Amino acid sequence: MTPALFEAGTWREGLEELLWSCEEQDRPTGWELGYRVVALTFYGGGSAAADAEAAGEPAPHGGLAEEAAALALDTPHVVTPHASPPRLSNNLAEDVHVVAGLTWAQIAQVFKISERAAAGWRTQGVPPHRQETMEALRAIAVTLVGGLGSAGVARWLTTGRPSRLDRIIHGELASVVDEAKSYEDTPAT
Amino acid sequence: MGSSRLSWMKQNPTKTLLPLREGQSSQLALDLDTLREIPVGEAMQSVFYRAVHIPVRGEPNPLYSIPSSGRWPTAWTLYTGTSEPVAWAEYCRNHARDIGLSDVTGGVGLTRATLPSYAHLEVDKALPRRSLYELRFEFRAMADLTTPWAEELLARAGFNLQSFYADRASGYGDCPALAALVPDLGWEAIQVPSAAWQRPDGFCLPVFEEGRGRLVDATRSLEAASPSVALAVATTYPEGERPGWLGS
Repeated sequence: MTPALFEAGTWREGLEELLWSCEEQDRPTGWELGYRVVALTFYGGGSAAADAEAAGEPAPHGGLAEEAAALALDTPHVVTPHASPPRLSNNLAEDVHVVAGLTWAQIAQVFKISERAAAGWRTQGVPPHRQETMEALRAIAVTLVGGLGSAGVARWLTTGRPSRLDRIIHGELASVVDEAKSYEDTPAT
Repeated sequence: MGSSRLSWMKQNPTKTLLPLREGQSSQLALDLDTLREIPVGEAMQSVFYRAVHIPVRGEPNPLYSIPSSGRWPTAWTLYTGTSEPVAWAEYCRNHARDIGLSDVTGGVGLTRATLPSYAHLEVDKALPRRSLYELRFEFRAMADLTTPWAEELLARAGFNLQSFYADRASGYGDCPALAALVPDLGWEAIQVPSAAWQRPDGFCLPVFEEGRGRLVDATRSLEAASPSVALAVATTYPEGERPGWLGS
């Protein structure tokens, strides 16, 4: 141990006797020499998580998240080609099929009808008692298709357990519509 | 940010930052007179970042805001970040479920060994792409709530500093109560810690109605982009919402 370890102005002769590694036994503690440690600074050995925990702060992510953060500074985003979304046709059934990317079988599943009956809406029109749900599906698609494309909207609706389409079938249409609408803004949460 | 709060703790050893539980806020009226002592001035930085929804037709609207939404709800609060990673991290935190549905590992999950291989991929399966905007404001009355002095005044005013990181489930702690006082305080914008990017460079900058007129330029720097896997992994999610495939 050398005076170089001490901050300027804090070194005193004899202090080297007080510094030892944790592996050395039976060394003086300082009491014997009349010294008392009043401040101790560790360089480079602090634990951010432990500090945060002691202060009641949320512990920062360690490990993987911190490694990822360093990589994210280089690559925070990935640019993707922006494909033109399909145009709305003003035909409700056709819009849900094309813009939301749902197959006729998937549309039929929402209403527990046959695929053929659902496909028939393209020419015969959507029955009045099905229009509210179909308009909501179109609204979801219109909100999301600019960022996801039609295939992405279909994925957004059909992936997960339960999927959002499952939730619509089970009466959660309004909350799924709200989830889609939440994409229109980017609040801090 | 963490370091400044730690410095505050060292200067105020008798005060404690208590974690907020679900549904909990201080429920106390904040002391307006003390809040008025928080220094307000011109912003040191003028460019802020925002990930913006891509509409089916036409140009994105970088100034669109759903009223009374998010951590700092007012009639019009425009959320921006002081860096691009903050803007994307807030987007990821907002939509943890869809990050979860965008697993690029096919169900295997990320590990330290595989992270470098996936880090530069996009998270886009169920997460809509966004445009990235750089918004230039010239604020005259911005309150930087991240300085030790501002934090001390906030605490004195009855604001629990842990609220900066409180989740939606806890009602964002005291943040909405403070946002309600913004018209009285005349703040155009505030600089606050980002709950999504809890690192020294992680600041959000919510802009309020008073600051709307301070916008001098809006540049669409990216037409359509997705956050990278690395960004999604580095994001802090609300408690219990971190997608499993991102690892821990």
